[in-house]
Amino acid sequence: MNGLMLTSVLLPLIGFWLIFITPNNEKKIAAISFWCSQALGLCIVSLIALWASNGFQNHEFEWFNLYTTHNYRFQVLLYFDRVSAVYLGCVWAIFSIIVKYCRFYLHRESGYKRFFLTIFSFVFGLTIVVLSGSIDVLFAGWEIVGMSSFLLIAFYRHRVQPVRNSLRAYTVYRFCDIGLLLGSWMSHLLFHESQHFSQLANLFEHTSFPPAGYGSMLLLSALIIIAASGKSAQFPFCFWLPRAMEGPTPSSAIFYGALSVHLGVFLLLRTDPIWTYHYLTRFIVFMIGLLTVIFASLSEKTQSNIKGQIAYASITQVGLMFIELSLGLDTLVLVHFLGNAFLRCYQLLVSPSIVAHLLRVEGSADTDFFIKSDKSYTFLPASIRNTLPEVLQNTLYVFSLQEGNLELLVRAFVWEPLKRTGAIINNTSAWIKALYAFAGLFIIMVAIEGIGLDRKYLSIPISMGMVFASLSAFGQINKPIRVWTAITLSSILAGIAVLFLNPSAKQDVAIFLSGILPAWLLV
Amino acid sequence: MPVSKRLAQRGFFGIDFLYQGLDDAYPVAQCPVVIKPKHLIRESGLKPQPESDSKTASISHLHFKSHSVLRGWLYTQTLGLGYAARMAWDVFRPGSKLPKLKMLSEIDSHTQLHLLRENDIPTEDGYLLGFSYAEMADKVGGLLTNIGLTQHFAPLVVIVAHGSSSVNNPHFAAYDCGACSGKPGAPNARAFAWMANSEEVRKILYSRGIEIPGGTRFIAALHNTSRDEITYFDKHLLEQDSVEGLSTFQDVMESALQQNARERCRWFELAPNANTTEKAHDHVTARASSIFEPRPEYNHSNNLYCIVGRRTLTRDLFMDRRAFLHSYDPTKDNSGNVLVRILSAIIPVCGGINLEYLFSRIDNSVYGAGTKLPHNVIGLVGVANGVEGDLRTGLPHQMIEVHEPARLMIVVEQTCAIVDKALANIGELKEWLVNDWIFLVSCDPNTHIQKLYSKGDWKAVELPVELKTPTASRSEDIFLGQTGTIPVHKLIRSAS
Repeated sequence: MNGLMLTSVLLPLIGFWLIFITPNNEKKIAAISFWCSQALGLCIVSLIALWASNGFQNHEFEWFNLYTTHNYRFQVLLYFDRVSAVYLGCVWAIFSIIVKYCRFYLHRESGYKRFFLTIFSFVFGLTIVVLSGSIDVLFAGWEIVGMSSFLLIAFYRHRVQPVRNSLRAYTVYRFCDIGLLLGSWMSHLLFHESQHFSQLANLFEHTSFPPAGYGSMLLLSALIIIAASGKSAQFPFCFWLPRAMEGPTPSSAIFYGALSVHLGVFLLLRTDPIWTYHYLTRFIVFMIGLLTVIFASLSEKTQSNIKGQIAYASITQVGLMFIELSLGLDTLVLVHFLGNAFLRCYQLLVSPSIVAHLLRVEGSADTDFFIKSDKSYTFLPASIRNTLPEVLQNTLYVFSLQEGNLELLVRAFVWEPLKRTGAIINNTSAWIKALYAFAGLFIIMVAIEGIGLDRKYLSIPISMGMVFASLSAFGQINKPIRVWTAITLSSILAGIAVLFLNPSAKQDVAIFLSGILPAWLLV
Repeated sequence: MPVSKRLAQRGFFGIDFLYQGLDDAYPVAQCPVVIKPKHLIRESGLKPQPESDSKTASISHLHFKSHSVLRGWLYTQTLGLGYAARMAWDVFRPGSKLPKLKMLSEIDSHTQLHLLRENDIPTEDGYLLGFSYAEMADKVGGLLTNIGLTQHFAPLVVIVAHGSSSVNNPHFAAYDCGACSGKPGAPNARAFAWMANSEEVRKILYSRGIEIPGGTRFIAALHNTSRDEITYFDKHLLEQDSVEGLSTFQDVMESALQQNARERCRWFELAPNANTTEKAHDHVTARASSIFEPRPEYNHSNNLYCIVGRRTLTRDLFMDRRAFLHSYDPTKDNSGNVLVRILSAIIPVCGGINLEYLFSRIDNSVYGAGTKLPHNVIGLVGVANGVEGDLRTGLPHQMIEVHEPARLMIVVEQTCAIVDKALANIGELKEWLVNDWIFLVSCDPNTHIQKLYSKGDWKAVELPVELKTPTASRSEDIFLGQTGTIPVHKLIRSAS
């Protein structure tokens, strides 16, 4: 079983490298991708069969230790249970269909190879996420999925609009990744060695003896919920999903119709014990689901284009899944996931048929969206009986046409403050910045010398500098090199700050910087 | 061996009307966009339609409908899984192997058109419901005169319209008949055949000097250009009294279509190395019914000439599917009036098609629609790349990628003097010629001396002295293994 799990994870990666080293030859790429998808299917089917013959027992496999320090081990952990089985089966079914579909659909398209490379890296990321045994491993897969999403939305990279929309999706992804990253860090603090998914449930068995305090549990749950709702385009992040429909139709089908959008649900299923522990967090998930259903189903009715309609319909269903999750109906969620994934994938694949269908079969589109002014309004005073329904209707129309203004909302609360502060920092002259930096350092130095403060407090002004550098990166417009440098500066300052806090971590900081500096030099 | 003669006409057969088929929600124009039709033709079933299949239809089209939140949730929960099977089926076993669902141009022929006008009261929208006999005689007589078929009628005249079927293709109208506003020309062909078969119409035509013998039958058919199949209409009429020579015609047509499929396959990179015409035909059928196929056909790609004249002019020529052919008898048109009618149709239709391909090919992202893969249908108005952004005009990359951009050359088999007379009467269309959007060559009916129209004047065409038309005995010898466009070949028939 261990071998099969490993093969399932590694096969897409092998396929990726095989395609990478073949020249841009359609026939070879098609053959490789076909055989890889077949082999993956064989692997997954036998894995599920083996698991079933073992009596559906949850299975954990610790491959190796990637990294060890005195109180932390990064293990590459794989885990297989009911949820993985359902997700893995679905991933394979849709992946093999899409591979076959694209063999013809992308014929003669420039970027044939690039497309298949991205699809394979996406599936690689997905299998990691689905088979991961801890949040750390899950995060790795989560990032790969995010990157390949970004690359596929921007598949037509010579045009502005796909690139802009892919950045829009990616910023939402990144924002929510912070939630996941902080979440995995917090789960280490709270549960130490026991943050394996296999052990999570056991932790919460003794209700009288919670593993962590109320506040920290709430914070951890909130972080996980942010990560999940961003990935699944739930309230308030609904807006990115329709705009992600920029790549070739099958790529939209596999990503945004079928698989990517359900990853948030997967994360919530996996971390079920954590966030269902308190009723407040359950209620939050319920509300997110409910708000999403309201916003998305309204927006769907006024979408003028077919892919936008499907996207919002999909979001609505995922919102319902959130509601089901909060009510603890996990099995129902799994069935719902399968149904929604296949239905949306098929709908997106045949979305070009909508013209023929509506013209020749339906005649005209019926959007089911109007309020009849009939007798039921007689309880209203006569003066507004005729106007109120119409006003309401128009209000709803405008509301749903603007898609609830969620994008502006997120922008105003998340991005604008960062950008504005960044712009203020950028507008300050270099001398004043230097002066402030010097003054900060001076005060701390005096404190250290004078009162005998510990040297590690020096890290405070340094981390302040780190925050400022990051903010200044936000404020830069149309200057990619400066943004890059500011981010690098921020990361270096972070490394130095850690050094002051913990002088023994020299080796760790060196590992950290060995990634940052070459990346900076690449530009 | 039956003697058959091919006559060609633009796809709406000179009959302009609004057409509402049995399943159509509203009528659509069946004529070039420049013509505003005044007549409405409705199709009706011969038998009353059973109402019961509406339920099964609504379930199989579930994924196209919009639902309330609750119903959407229920459907997704229960039926969503079924789509796994359906999707796998559609992708791994494309339509050709299934009992085919009837859609697009595969019209059920158990219907009839209401062509004869019973009274002159216009409909609510101001259209006349059907044609009167006099109007029918005008239409039929006009067309027969245009193509020079006013005597020596064969016992069987087949009126072949063209249309194209493709699945999952928002650009399907671009593959249909341009002269019918992007729809299959089947209703027009059926209307024409019905009119020409009508005794009253024939009487009126006889008084105008066109005598259609009693033994002559007109039959409507539709050539599906993507599947290379032909459908014959109004079978119930054929069953009532059988038509002489129809079965022979059908056999000849069948083999011709298979050869045509084979010739078309040379442009498809993914076509099997077709050694047999059957394989080639299977391939084009699969193409037209696969949901993952962005190129059901290359229809007018590489269009280059339009030849107006007697068909003896182009007989035994292999023209690599690059020519529009229009029948015209120069000996019966001393005034040039017929030519005026022909030119005023082919210049906008063929010239328009030619320029559409030309510009879409020259700069596909500006004048064309770019690649079709990310296209998203917006309203029922057009397509855009993604959910926002400009609507795309022109042809998508998948339609024009093999097109060699060149302006249309119209060759008219008529003397310069009569062509000049005709040109004086085509009005604004003359700008196409004066501004060189198309080229016009006059080919003298007797001497075959060719002259090129240039800024109101005729210039002698100077061909290289050593120019020799290559010859071949079978068209397969010419096109097999070729990947580019092929110059005109002369086919030499083996003596048999």
